Amino acid sequence: MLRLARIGFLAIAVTGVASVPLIAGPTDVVHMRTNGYHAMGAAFKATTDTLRGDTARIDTIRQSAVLIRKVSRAQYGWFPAGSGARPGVKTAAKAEIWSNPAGFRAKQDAFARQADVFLHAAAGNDVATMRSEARKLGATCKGCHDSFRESDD
Amino acid sequence: MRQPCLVQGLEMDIERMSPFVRVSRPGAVFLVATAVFVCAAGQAIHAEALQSAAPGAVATANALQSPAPKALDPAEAEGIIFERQQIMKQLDEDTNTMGSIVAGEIPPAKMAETAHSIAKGAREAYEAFKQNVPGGRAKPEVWSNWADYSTRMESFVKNSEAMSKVADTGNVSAVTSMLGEALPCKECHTVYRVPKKP
Repeated sequence: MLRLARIGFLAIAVTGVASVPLIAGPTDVVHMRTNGYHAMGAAFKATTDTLRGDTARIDTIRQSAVLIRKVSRAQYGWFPAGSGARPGVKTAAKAEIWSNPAGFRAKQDAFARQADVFLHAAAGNDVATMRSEARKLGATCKGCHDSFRESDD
Repeated sequence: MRQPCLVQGLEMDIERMSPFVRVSRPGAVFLVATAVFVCAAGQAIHAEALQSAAPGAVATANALQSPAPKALDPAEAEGIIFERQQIMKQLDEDTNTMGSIVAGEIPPAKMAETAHSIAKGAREAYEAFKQNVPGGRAKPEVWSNWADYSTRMESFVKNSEAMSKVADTGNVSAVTSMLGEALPCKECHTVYRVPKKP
């Protein structure tokens, strides 16, 4: 009985992680994407910080690239209908995400593509290429933020 | 005959001038007038340089001209703009934290760390704008008036660095007294940042 319970629990846990956008409430997915983007932002900052230094830490860049790529895939499930701004829900996601889904999807795709390119660059040893591709990755972030994210200031 | 210059008491002795100049009085008058003009023009240029510089600072010869713009892939240029926006965002967060600390709203445990982050942000922001990539909310005047802008940024770098050293001592009062000069954000934004769209 205990063994069946453990298997069941594991199945629920795995299913839960994969299907949170489907069964979680709007606030849950907002927390998830906020935390996810914060983690990615920290990884991107670590990347740009080390690339600005005299000696870039390749290991930091590679770890960051892996995380960024994961987020670039996970973010496709972070914006279900009904998870926009509403009383009691703090989010920077603009309404245009849901009123212009094709435009938003195009920005997500651009980010995902460049995350792959950056991951590939990080796997090499050419710091100049990593710097160039990191900047282009930042450009995809900016491209999406400019249209679909509320400004911070 | 001594002919006083109209500016700063510079005097010229016409009698000791080249014989060629002494050939005619109109020539001598022209020479005096030219000297007066050169004195006045030099004064004007010097005054303008001082006026455009930050208070208490004079732009160095190297800072008078903005760095040459780089030939960049448009995506890279956008990336550089994004990077400096992120630097400024971090500075904003750090400034708010520092404000809360000196206001006694949060404990000063992170004062030194925050001050060092501000100093780092100041250095990084200055380097980011040296790349001469127009765009974002940065006005073109950042680079067309580089002498003034770079002087302000150098002052920001210097004063925030000094504040970070004082913050290492844990003295909140001392840090508070340095905030005005170490965080000249508003003064610079008023001149060089495009206002937020309504």
